[in-house]
Amino acid sequence: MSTTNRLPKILQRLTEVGIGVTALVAIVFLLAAVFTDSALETPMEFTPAEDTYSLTSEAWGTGTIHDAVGVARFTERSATLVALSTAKILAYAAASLVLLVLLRNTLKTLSAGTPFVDANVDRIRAIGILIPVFGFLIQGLHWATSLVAMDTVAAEGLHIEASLTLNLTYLFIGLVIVALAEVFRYGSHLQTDADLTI
Amino acid sequence: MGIEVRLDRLLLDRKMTLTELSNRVGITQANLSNLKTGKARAIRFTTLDAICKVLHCQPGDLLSHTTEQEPPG
Repeated sequence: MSTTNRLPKILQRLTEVGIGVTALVAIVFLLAAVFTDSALETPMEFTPAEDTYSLTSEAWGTGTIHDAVGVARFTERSATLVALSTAKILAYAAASLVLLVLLRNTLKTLSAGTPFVDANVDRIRAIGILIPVFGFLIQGLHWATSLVAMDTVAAEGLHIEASLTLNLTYLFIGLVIVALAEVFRYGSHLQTDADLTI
Repeated sequence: MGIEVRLDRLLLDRKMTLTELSNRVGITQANLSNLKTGKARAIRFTTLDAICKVLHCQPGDLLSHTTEQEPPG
């Protein structure tokens, strides 16, 4: 088997391993979040109180920390925090699993030597649409957590912020992949012509 | 489609089966079936040459052009 044919098979196997690992990790995290007393962590945006954290550098001079994103850990588990943590784990797991399954099925056809089929056009377009959808969903969940934290959490020397800044990188990546789906559509048309040329 | 493939008629005249033609021409039965039923989108000259050699015919015996009738009105 040539090297060019082996790579799709290797990638297919890697995605299959990824599907298994993702499912397993998601189940472990979900069980830990719901049924154990383990501490719950959540990303949070902070703005330090004025002049609280100053910076000095021989090369860069002086400055202050203006914005920071960190992870807050809570040992006492409120129902709201458990619900938000569970929602985020489910969102991450669903996004990863759906994308990995679509990718695995696409790579299967590539391994079989028939990548230019209509089913792959639909799969690749779905990947292109789902990446920004899932990306914005997960950012939305982080924002929702910060919104709740603003009203319920006090941090000495820090202000908790909740800003919904949508990362447009997801959108650009999605657009590129949707464009790639159109290339595959043309490829599928050419493949059909080739297959039906006697 | 405007191109008609008269493979059935030629096979009948030559008393040959599709299987036999497939073995002699070196094209799969599935592909010959696609050709016979009009599903094929194109035919290579090499294929046309091979079929005509085996069936002892001209391309015009195998292929014909039909004008699709315009609907009235």
